[in-house]
Amino acid sequence: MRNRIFCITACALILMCGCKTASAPLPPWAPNAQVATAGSVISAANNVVVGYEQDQKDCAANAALTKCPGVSSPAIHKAVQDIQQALVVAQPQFNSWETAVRQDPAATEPANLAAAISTIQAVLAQFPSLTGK
Amino acid sequence: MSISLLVQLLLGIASSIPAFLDSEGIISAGLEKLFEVSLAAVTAIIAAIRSGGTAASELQSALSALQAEYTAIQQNTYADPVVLGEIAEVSLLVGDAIQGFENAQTVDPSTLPVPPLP
Repeated sequence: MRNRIFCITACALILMCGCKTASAPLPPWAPNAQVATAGSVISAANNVVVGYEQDQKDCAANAALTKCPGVSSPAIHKAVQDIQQALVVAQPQFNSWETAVRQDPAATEPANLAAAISTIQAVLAQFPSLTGK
Repeated sequence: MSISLLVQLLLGIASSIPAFLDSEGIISAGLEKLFEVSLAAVTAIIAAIRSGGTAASELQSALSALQAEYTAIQQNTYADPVVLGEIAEVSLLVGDAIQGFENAQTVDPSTLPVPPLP
């Protein structure tokens, strides 16, 4: 039941990403849509790790908060760690690629960046199944 | 993704919520947060569609259906603190992902520092 419920959020997120790709205007910083899409995933992943850090701090200060059993969940902790480790690879490559595309619109996306973004997306997609473990 | 498919999926989400109530008859405070996050995501979808100038009225109907179900869910309670905590935290993290995605509309991700290992 929990997994089904979390599918609602996952579906909403996936739908939102699809809409952004299809219809949203290009962000001012993005030289093209491909860079914008990669950057959006990196920004989402970055905010997840930052948010988890903040949740850890909140629970260190007040363990009675509703979210604290989730913050201490090994499955959730590992998922966030996996995202952070993918970010360590992805972010510097994204920065270089963004700069390269500004100079040469045909500059290709680094393979390691594509793989790291795929990892991030895969971990985000696991979120619906992270409860009850 | 076509607008009609998007609407169909949104309506599917809305229509599935009563099944959760039927299967367990209980909904948690954490789930309220979850659905709040879901609604925020749907709202973002509508904003994105509106920026493209199409089909906002169709999507508004889907959102209204979701909001009606959400109101019903808010009337229920649930008591397992561990499960509640997991649901609450995952909901918050999904919300963080959505917010990060939205932030990328204005903030260049290359300016973000890589956060440390949690």
